[in-house]
Amino acid sequence: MNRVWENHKFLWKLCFKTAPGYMLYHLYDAFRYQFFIFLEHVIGIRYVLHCAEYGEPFYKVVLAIGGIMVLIMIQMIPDGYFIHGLTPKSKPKLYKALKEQMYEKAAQLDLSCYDNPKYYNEFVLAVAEAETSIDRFLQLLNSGVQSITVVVTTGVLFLTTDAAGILFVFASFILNIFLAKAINKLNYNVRIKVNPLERKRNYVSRVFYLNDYAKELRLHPEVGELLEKEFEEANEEIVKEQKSVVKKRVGLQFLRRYCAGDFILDGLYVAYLIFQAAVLHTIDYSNAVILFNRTGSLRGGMRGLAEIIPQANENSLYVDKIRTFLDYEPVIKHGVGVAVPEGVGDICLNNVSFRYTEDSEDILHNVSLQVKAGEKIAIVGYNGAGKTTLIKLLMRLYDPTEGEITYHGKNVKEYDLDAYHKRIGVVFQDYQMYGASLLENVVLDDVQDVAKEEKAVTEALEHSGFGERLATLPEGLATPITTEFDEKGVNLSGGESQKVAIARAFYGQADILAMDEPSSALDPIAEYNLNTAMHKAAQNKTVFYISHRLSTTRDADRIVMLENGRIIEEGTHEKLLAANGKYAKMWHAQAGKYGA
Amino acid sequence: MKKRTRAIRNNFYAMKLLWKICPSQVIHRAVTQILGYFEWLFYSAFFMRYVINALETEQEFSAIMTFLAITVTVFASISIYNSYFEGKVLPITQVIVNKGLNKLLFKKSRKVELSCFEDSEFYNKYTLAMEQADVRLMNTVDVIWGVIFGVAASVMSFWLLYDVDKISVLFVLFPVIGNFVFNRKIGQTEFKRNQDMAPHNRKIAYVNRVMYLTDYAKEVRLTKAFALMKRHYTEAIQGLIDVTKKYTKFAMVMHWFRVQFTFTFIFEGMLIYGGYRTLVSQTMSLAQLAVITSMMVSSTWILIGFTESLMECFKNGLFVDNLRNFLEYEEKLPEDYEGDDPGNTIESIVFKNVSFSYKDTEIIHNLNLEIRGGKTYALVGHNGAGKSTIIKLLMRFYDPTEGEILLNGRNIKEYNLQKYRSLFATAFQDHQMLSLSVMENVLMRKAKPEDEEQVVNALKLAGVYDKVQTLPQGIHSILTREFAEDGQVLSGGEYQKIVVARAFVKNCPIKIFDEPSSALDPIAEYQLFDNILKSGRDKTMLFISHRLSSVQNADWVFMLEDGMVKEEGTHKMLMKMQGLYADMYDKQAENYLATERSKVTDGIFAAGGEV
Repeated sequence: MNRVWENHKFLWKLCFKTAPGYMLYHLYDAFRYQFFIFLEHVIGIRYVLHCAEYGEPFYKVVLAIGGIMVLIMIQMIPDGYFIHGLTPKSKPKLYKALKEQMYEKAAQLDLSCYDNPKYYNEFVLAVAEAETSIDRFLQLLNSGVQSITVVVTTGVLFLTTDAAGILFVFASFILNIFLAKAINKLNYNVRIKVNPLERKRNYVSRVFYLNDYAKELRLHPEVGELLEKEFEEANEEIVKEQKSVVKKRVGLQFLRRYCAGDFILDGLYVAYLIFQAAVLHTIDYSNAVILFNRTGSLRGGMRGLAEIIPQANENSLYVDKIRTFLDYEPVIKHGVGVAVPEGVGDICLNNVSFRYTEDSEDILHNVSLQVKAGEKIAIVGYNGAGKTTLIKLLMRLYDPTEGEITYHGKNVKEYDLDAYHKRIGVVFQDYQMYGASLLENVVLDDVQDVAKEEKAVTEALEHSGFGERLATLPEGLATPITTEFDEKGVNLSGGESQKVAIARAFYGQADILAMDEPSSALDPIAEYNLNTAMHKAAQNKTVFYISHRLSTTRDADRIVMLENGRIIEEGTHEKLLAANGKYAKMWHAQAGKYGA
Repeated sequence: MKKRTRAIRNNFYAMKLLWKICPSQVIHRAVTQILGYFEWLFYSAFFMRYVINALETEQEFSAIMTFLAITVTVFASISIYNSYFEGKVLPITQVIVNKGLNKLLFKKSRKVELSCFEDSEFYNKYTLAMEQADVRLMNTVDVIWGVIFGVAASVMSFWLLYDVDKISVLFVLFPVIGNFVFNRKIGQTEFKRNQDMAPHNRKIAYVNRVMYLTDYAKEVRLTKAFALMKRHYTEAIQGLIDVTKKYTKFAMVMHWFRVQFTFTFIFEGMLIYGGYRTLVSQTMSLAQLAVITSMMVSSTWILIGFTESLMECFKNGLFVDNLRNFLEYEEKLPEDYEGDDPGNTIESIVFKNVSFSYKDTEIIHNLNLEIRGGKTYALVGHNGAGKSTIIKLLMRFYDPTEGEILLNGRNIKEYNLQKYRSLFATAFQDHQMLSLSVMENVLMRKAKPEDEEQVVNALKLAGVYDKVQTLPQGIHSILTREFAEDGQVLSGGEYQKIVVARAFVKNCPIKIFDEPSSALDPIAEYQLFDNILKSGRDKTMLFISHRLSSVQNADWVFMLEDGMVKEEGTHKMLMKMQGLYADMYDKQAENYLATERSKVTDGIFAAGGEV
């Protein structure tokens, strides 16, 4: 309960700080809406009926109703601004206030959080729910204020006219709540059983409409029939589940709709009112009409109040996710640590072991490697040997579970993270292009002074072999990349994008280059050209190059062969061939046929 | 105007479609709406009028109670019906509609040619139509009833008002103007505003994607890409604010008039008018006054409900349009094309002057090639040379724009499509697993116990049987976690091998492998090609590969470039030619074959060797 309160207080503070005027008017608006309905439909109509019943002079009607009309016309003036000006302007600001905090956090989150599917799903949900949780909060405030206004105004009307009516309304309301609860429980139980079936159903329909499966379905029509059968079975199961509760549900619905609702309010209460008006003469007609008309609103107001708590509980669950996310303390922190010494230094891995989670197996096991400044290291091995993980540790996307990595003789954990990242240029297999200018796609930062960067970026692009393509772009470095939000944008081909990704590594003037199979997506000629282009930029830098095409790595200063997270062989190509171990076997498997 | 008639026709189409799938739901939905309006009008027009009249004329209390009792009973039976509708009819017919509609959609999506899936415009419309199609179809029909009975109820309420007092019905003009003039103006303004906002919202959605997708996570950490996104976000928000400002004033004025016309003028006007009639001219009874005060509210809201239904009706027209276009789409290359039986042997496959264009770009130019039965063929070339397209043409996923493809001397268009395709076993490089058992994923049909041996053999040849054996239920384990909690997730390379096993298991005259080793490491790749070649000794076989070392043992090699066969022959012949193939081969082989480091002049390590 406390948590629910805290969570909404958090939202209120955030919203009020961002758009105080909007939030205040939002509260006023809910009150205003119900208040004027009450003024118009209760006070106004009752007064007219009263005048008619007792033959009051006509001018009184004109004055009263005319007065109400003027009030309504005036209060309506700011309403249009609220709906068409303030709301569309303020809501994006509110969303941004929350989401920017979340993005900030997301950018610092440990990469390991992304590997943990449970955490990642929570994170995605939190991001997806950020806007709706604000919407729900605003809605909650609105319906809360509206309900209170209705219950207070209409409650006073009943108390001052004929208090007993409240009992009828209250009885109907209480019964309704109990029955609604029973129905919800019943529906919830069905839902639990039906959910996995619906998932199955949706899966099948995805297979049929996704492009990915289209080819296979055409080649293997039988499998389509198999899936359709699964689909039909799932649907039949759902019908069976629904049928099993039909009687109970119809019964409960009737009790709720009729016995708790219409019968009490339109039957019993009306009989009571008529009895008072016709037999006891304790109530006049105009009041009877108004009381009857307002039973629905009063019950609605009561229900609105009763629903605030479950609604707040629900919203709180989402806000909880958002706040837990915002409160997360990353293990690998930004903005702390010392500067990295200038120049290329030695890099050492000392007994490094790494596993993704506590109880999983080691991905890297007791790896030690001393790399001198400017040395070219090739890392080879089978899929899953731990090559990419090694690069990620080097980049400090993760920290080793055991052991340490040092640069310039100091544990890399002690350096300022951003400064350290700047010293390593990296090309992963999976790189992304962004909806921004070509220049910004290389720099990957919000560039204020474009002219200052132009030379360095052009150079980097030329080194990566993008120079020719650059010359064909009419807007040069300012060319928008991707058609994400610029129709004139350029969608680069796979090979071109790869060159831009490589240019990023060159641009930073890094001391260390780490390349994770940069050529895997390329055909032989393109691979060849890429390797040629890269060698210029790699001069005087320490290089880590991952590949399972051994032809590209044979001339490394040192080849490191990984297997199951361990270094099993190490040395120059010739040395390893002479040793006739696993590397030699792999080499011969690839080269053998070329020699034929 | 044309758009409107189309929208109306579409709504009728939706009605017919739902009627075909589940007529009872169509009827029940109509009945509940009629009953809803009946209750509304009865209480606001008739009930109160009767009661107050009875009171004023001082009728017997028991007579009024009898009337009340009858009313309560009638509504009890209506309530029984409504509960039955909500508790039984709706939940069950919803499933029936889902089943019926999806079966139509599935059937269609299996029948349309593959190129529909690759045509992004068609595909977007199609996925739009598929999304929650059942719920939206039911909603569409509900809205149609809303329009029809909304009109009826509006007319009815005007008539009831007219019946009470002839002049008072004129006040209804106010909400009519409010709804159809001012509300429409607001709608148009909002539409324009949303259009102006769309690019900014797209930007916001993009930023959001970059910030949470795993694909971007590494780069966001290693670079300042976040600053770039932040700028985009701030710009987009400012854009939204600017757009809002542009429309605020006009919308504000329209809003004010709409509210005054729709509510204030009719309500306050009628109250003063009613007061005048009862108090000054004394031509209206208290009962009548009470009725017009409640009728003015219900008439207004019925009218608003009708207008909203009408607008939604046009919106739904768009959704139905997509659905309809898809269901009525006429296949250019129907999957169930009937034709001659192609038999079960392959003597020859010939591409004769085949050209193929995809979206106005010619990918294959005047291509000629011949494949003889019982031989092994390799297709090599750069990315984008057209290798995969040739396979797709051969499988008849597309038909050539020009030229023809002949099987045993006859154009493949003349054969029964299903039977023709079953001549081939094809392993594509993009591996898709279905949430079925390993065995079914290999067979791609329902598995029978006697299939087991073949499946095991195929998995062995593909080099993944050892892995499958380690799974808890062996070849009966369910793959992927799509809906099995304990589904097995394998690596990309392992999935690829299962796809290859599909081609091994199928007993058919020709097998095709499209870069079967792209996700495999060298040893696995080596073994796989060895197995492929062994298994295909006297079968017709065609494979695509980047790795030219694996191509040497093919009987014949086609070297493709720019959608044409540039060179063909055996490996030896091509090497002798010293052409494109030889160049490509040498580049790949060079580093493997060089005996001394000094021979290597290029590559990332070349310059660094002497540091």
